[in-house]
Amino acid sequence: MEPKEWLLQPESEYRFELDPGTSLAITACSFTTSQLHAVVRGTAEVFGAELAPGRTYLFGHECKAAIFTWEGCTLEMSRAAYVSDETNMWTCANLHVMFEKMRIRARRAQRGSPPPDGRTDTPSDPPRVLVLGQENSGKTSICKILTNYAVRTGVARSPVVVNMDPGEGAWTIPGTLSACPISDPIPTSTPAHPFGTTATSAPTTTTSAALVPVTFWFGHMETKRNPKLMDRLIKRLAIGVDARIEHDPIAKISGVIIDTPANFAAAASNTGPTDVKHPMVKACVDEFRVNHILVIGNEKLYVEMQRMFRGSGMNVIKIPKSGGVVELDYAYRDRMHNQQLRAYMYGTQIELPPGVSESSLGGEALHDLTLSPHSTSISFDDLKIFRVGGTDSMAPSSALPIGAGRMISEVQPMAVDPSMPGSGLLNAVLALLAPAPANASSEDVLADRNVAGFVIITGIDIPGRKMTILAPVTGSLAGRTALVGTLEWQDS
Amino acid sequence: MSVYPSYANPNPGYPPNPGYAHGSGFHGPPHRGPPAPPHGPPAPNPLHLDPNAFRQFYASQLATLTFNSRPIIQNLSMMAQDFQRWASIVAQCLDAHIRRVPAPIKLPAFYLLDSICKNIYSPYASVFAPMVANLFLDAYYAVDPSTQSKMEEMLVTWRTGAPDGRELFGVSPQITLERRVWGGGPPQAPQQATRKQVLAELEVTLAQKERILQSNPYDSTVAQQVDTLLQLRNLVQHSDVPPQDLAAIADQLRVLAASVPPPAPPHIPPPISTSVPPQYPSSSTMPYATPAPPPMMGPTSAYPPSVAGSVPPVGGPDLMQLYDSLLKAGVLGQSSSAPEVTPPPQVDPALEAERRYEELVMGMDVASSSSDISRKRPAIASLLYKRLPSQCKQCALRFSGEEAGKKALQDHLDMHFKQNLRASQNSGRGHSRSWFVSLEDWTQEGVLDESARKAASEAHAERDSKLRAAYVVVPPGEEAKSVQCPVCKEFLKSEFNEDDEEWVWRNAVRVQDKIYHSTCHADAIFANPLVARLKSDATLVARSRSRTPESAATSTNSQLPSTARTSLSPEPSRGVKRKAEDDDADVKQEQDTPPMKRLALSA
Repeated sequence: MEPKEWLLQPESEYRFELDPGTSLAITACSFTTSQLHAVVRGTAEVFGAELAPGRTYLFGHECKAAIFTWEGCTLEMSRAAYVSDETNMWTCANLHVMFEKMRIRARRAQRGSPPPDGRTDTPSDPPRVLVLGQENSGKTSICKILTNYAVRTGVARSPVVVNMDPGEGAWTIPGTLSACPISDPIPTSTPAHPFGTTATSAPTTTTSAALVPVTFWFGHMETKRNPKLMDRLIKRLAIGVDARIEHDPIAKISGVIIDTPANFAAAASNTGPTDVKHPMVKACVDEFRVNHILVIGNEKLYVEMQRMFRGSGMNVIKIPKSGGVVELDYAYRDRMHNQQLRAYMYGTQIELPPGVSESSLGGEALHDLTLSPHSTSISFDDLKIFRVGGTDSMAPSSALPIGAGRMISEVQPMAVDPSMPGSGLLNAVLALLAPAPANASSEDVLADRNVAGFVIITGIDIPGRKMTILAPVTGSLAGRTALVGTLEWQDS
Repeated sequence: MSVYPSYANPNPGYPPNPGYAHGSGFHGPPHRGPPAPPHGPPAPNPLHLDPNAFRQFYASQLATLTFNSRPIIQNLSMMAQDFQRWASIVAQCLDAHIRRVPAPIKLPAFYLLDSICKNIYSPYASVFAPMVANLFLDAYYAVDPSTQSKMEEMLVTWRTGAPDGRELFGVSPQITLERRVWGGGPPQAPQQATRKQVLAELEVTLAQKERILQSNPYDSTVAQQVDTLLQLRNLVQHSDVPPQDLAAIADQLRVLAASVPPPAPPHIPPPISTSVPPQYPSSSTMPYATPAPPPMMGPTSAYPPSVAGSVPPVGGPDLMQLYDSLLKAGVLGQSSSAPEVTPPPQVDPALEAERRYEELVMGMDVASSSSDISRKRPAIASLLYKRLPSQCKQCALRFSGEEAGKKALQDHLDMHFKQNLRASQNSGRGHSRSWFVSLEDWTQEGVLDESARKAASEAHAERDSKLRAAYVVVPPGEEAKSVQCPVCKEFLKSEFNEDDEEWVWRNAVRVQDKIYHSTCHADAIFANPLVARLKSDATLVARSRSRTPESAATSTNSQLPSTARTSLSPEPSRGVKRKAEDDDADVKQEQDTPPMKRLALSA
C-alpha cells in the first residue's frame, strides 16, 4: 500500500503489530503548516526515543511498538494500524521526574553541592528500580521508556539497565543475564534487541548500536530450571554493577533499572511468608539495594510487595498496564529467540518494504548491520565444555526421597565430553567464557565468569574428534572454556 | 640660588596659586622649572635660620589647611622637605594643629602628615614615630565614622608605607594602632582580622589597583583583580564571613599589597582620589585635578627608583583563587540572606546549565503515590522537548540552546561526520560481532576522565613513533627487490640510512623471515586498527562514544601496560583485513591466548 500521512493528536500513540515477514517504514514529519493542526511542531517518540523529523525508520521482525507524541505530529507510513489516546505515558513521565529528582540529589551530593531543597536528612541514593509484572504487561517497555527519558535530559545520565529475564535475551541471546550502562537513547526497530545492540566491528552512528554489556550465562529460558544458579548470578551481577558504578560517576548517580521475568511476579509457592514466596525479588532487592518497585497492573502483587518491604524505606508503586500491550504466544517467543541468535551472528536485517528505498534503521545505515560469522573446525581438546548443574533432566528437589540431598550441586559445573554419544552438543549454543582471572583456579566458579561471546556447534565428528563451530568472529578458541545450557539453534 | 626665594618676597610675576588660601606670599615653587637640590646654598631666607620664625610661618600655613586641598598639602609637604632641619618643629606644629582643629578638619592634616612621612620619609617618619600613635588615636576617637574609615584606610597604607615596603613608623606604633583601632586578642596572640579591618584593607588595595588600572587601562590582570576585589568587598560587606575566612582574606590582601609598589609620588592618599567626605569639596571641583603636577618633580627625584613606580604594577597572588577558595569554604552559602553576589567570572557553562536544569526539575510537582502517579502535569513534556531546542537531524538527540548545548551539539555532529566517513570507507568489507569485554575491563570502562584520555593518546603517539622509527637493513644485493607488507599489501620503501651507511626499510620489522610494516604488525597483534581508531576518536567526543566496540582479548590484556587499556584494548582474532587473511595467518596465531596463558587455563 502507498505511504500515507497520519495525523497524531497530542498525547496519543500509533500502535502497530507487524506480521511475520513484513516490515514497516515510518517517517516522522515535522509539519509547520497551521492548516493541518494547531500544533505547529511535530515530535514523536518510540518507547521514549525521539524520532528525527524527516527520517525514515524501519521496523521489522514482528515488531510490536507504538509511536507516541506529546505535542502532536504527522506520520507518513506504509501501513495502517490504530491510534489510541489512552496511554500510560503520563505515568512514565511522572516516574521520570521523580527519579530525576533523586538523581539530582545524588549528583549534588557527588559534586559537593548542598542538597537541592536544603534537606540533609533525605538520603541521596539514586533511583534503583525493580520492575515487576506478569507476562505481557509491558515491563521491558517501561524500562526502556524510563531509560530513554533519563538519557534525554541533556545533562549527563547513564543508568545501568539490568536484564534479569533469561527468556528475554536483551542485548544478546536468551539464556543470559546481563547489565549495561546506557548513555544514548535506545532506538526500536526489532524486538530482537529491546535495549539496543552490542558492539560490532562496523562503525556505528549511535552508541546504542555498539553497546558493551556484561553478560552471565544461565543457560535456560526459565528461572525455575535452576533457582540456585539464578540466585548466584543475581549476586554476581550485582557485584559487577557495583564495581562498575564505583568507576563510573555518571552511572553511579543515574541509578539502576532492573527488568525481570514474569515469574518474579508469580509466587514461588502459595503458602508461607511473602519473602519465601518471592525469593528472587528479595534477592534482587537486597543485592541491588533497590529502593523503588514498580508493579505493573497487578493489585495482589502490589499489596504483597508493600507488605513484604514495609518499614524498609521501599517505595512500592502500582502503575497501570498500557492498553497497547500485545499478548504474545509461545510460538512468537520462539521465533524471537531464533531471531536473536540470528542477529547475534548475522546482524539485524530487515527487508525494505515496497516503495521504500533509502531508509535508515534507527539512525543506522543498513549495510553496516550485516555481519559475517566464522565457521571453523576445532579439535575436541581445544575447547573445554561444561554444563552447570548437571544434566537438564534434573529432577525437582521435591521429587527426591525425603531426607535425601542432591548428589550434585546446582551450581557445580560438570564436564561434557563431546565424544560421548548423546552429549547433546550438536546445535547447542555455547557461552564462551572470559578467561579466568589470574587468582581463580577452582572449577566451581565457572558460572561466575562472564561471557565473552556465543558459539554454536554445527557439526560433530566423533571418529575424527573434531567439531565444527560457528563463531561470531575469526580466531582460535584453543584453551578456552565454554558452558552449555539447554539452548539450541539451527541456522536455517 | 634659593629654591624658594619668594617665601619672604612674593614674586608678583607668578599668578597666585588658587589653592593658596592666604596669599601670604608662598608662591611659586610649584611653577618653578628645574628642581633644586634639597639643601641649596645658604639662603637669605630668615626661616632657614630662625626656628621660631619658621614655627610661626609653618603654623600659619597649616592654619590654611581647613579643607582637603591637594595644593595646600603639597605646598606644606614641600616646605617640610626644604626645612628638614626643622623636622621636629614641623612635627610639633602638625601635632598641635591636629589637636587644636575641630574634628571635621583633622583628616586633611593627617593627609599632610601621611604625605610628608611617605614622600620625604627621613627624618620625618622617625620624628613622628613616637607621637603618631597617640595623635592618631585621639583624633580617631573624635571623628565621625566615615572619617574613621578613611583613617583606617590610611592606617593600612602605613603598613607598607616605608620606601623599603615596611611599616612607615616602625612595627611597634603600627601594631599598637591596629590593635587599638580594630581590636584583637592579647598582645602576643596572633592578630584576629575583624570585618572592619578587612574592609579597610580591601578599600586600600582596591584604590591601588584602580589607580594602576587608570594608568594602564588594558592590563587585564589588574582589571580582573579589581573585579574580584569588588566582589570580595561586596561579600564582606553583606554577609557574615567567618573569622578564619576574614583572616584568609586579610592575609591574601597583605601579600597582594606587599607586591604593589608603594604609591608613587606625588603621593595622593587614596581617599582623595576616590571619595571625599561630604563636608569637603569633592575632588572633581578641585583645581588640581590633573595628576602629577610639575611641582612634585623635585621631591620625586629624591626617591629611590623603586619607590618612583618602576616596579611593574602587575603581580601578586591570584585573587581569583582566593575568591574561589572562599566560595568553596561555603562563605557564599552562608550569605543566603545577603544580596546576590556576582558569580565568579569563569564558571563552567555546562555546570551552570546543569544547575538550571536541576532547579527546573526540583521545582516540578510530582507525587510518588500510586493513586497520583498517572496525573497529568503538563510541564513535564517540555522537559523532553522545548527545553532542548536544537536537535541532531540524524539521530534526533536534543541539546540546549545555550552555549554548552551548542558546543555539545557541535561535538556530536563531528562524531557523526567521522562515523559516516568511516562507514563509507569500510563499506564492502565484512563486519562481525565483537567479543564482550572481561568483567574487569567492563567495570573500568567508565573511567575515561581527561587525564586518562590524555595519557592514552600520548601513549599511543609514543608507541606509534617508536614503531615508525624501527627499520630493517636491506640484505645486500636485494636493494632492487620490492617487498610487500603482508598485512597492508603495500610495498615497503627503502631508503639510505646516512648514519649506518646502509639501505634500510623504514617502519619495518622482520618476523619469521617476512618483512612487515612495524605499525601494521603491531596493529595485527595488539589491536584491530579500526577499533583502536574508533577508540581514540571516541575519547575526543566525550563519554557518549566511550562504548565503542572493544573486544574481549582479555587474554592478552594482562600483558599490556595498564595505560593501554583505555586506548588499545586489544581485539584478538578478527582477521585484520580479510583479503590479507591467508598471508597473515602467522600473525593471527599470535593474537589469541599466548602459550603461557594457555597452560594456565588448561591446568
